[in-house]
Amino acid sequence: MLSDEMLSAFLDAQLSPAEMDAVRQQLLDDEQLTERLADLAMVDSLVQQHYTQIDERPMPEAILQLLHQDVPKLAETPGNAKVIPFPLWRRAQQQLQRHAAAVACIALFAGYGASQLSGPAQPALAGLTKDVVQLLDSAASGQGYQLAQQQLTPRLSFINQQGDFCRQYSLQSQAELSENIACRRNGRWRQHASVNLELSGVVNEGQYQTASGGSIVDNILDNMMAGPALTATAEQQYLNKTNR
Amino acid sequence: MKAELKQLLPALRRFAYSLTGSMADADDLLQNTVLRLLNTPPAEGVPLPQWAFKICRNLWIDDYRAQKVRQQATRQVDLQQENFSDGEQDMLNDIQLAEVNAAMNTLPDEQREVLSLVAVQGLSYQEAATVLAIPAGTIMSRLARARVAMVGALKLNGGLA
Repeated sequence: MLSDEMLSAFLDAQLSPAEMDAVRQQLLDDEQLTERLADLAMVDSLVQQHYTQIDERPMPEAILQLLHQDVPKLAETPGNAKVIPFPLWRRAQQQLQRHAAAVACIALFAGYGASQLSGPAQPALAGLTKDVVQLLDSAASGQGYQLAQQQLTPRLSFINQQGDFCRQYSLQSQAELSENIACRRNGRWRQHASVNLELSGVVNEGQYQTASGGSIVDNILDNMMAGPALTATAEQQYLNKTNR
Repeated sequence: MKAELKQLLPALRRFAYSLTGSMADADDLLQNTVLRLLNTPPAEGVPLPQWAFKICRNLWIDDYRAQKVRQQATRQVDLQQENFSDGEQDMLNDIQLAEVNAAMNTLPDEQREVLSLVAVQGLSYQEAATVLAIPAGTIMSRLARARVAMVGALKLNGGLA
């Protein structure tokens, strides 16, 4: 009779070729031995089934964030950080890229010569209409808000090199998707960048063809951001200031 | 390294789960493992998976076992099974799966970690031996004892009863 150790190693193909052949031969001749091998194999199967169940549970965001930020010191608790790690916005861009199509038009507004809302709504590309401004002043990032003809989704907020409160947001209608950056100075919003994407074909449940539009905004964000993107809490504080 | 580590996360997480027996503890262990890995990356020439499993295992030995997290996990096993069963497995299989963690908890740590590395992670004996810094022959014997003990604990029908 073969030892359990030999059978176990046979299961893992960790014996020499000669030993593997010898075990195979004995398995042909010995039904009880085959049953023992099946029991051992069943252990592995059950153990695998049980412990792969954790795959069904979403990976904790805190762990994913660790891989998107500068290396934290061991003594720190990641959740205590007041700002979301800088590269977090890249994920928003990745998400955008999954939904966007070919770049049709790119409008970049350098410095502070940006389009600016004053009074009536402007019909400009992804323009700062009143309802857009209202949402920029009040809406939290991460969810979509329905406007008359389009949906606005604030993606993230940050402070730019000049110390102004800025927001990246998308505007999506049936035919267009634009990615925008606007900053607020002295109570007025100015648009600094707008990448306008035409949605090619369509599109079931967001299955747009991919495009390179997001990377353009990435570069702008890189140049504009003074630090990490604001956390939801910090963002809310800025929004509250606006609405006082 | 971060990209490679991200790819490794699911396997590392399964390993952590197989060691702690609790999904919540597994995620805590995984987070601490990632933190440690980011602070102490593998030396040149050392494969990241091997280094990661070793750190995970060492943290489990140092922290989680000492805190008796595993005992808590034993009490949670039924709830976990209920929450994450996909409803398609037959009743017998459900019962067996629910019992797996309890059976694993009966194993000595030395056997549990070997079974986790080989059965859950699919490491070869040599790879497991490198992670645990023990001879491959020891892996072979510990693994066999672990499997036999599990057959007994799970009351599988067959020739080992």
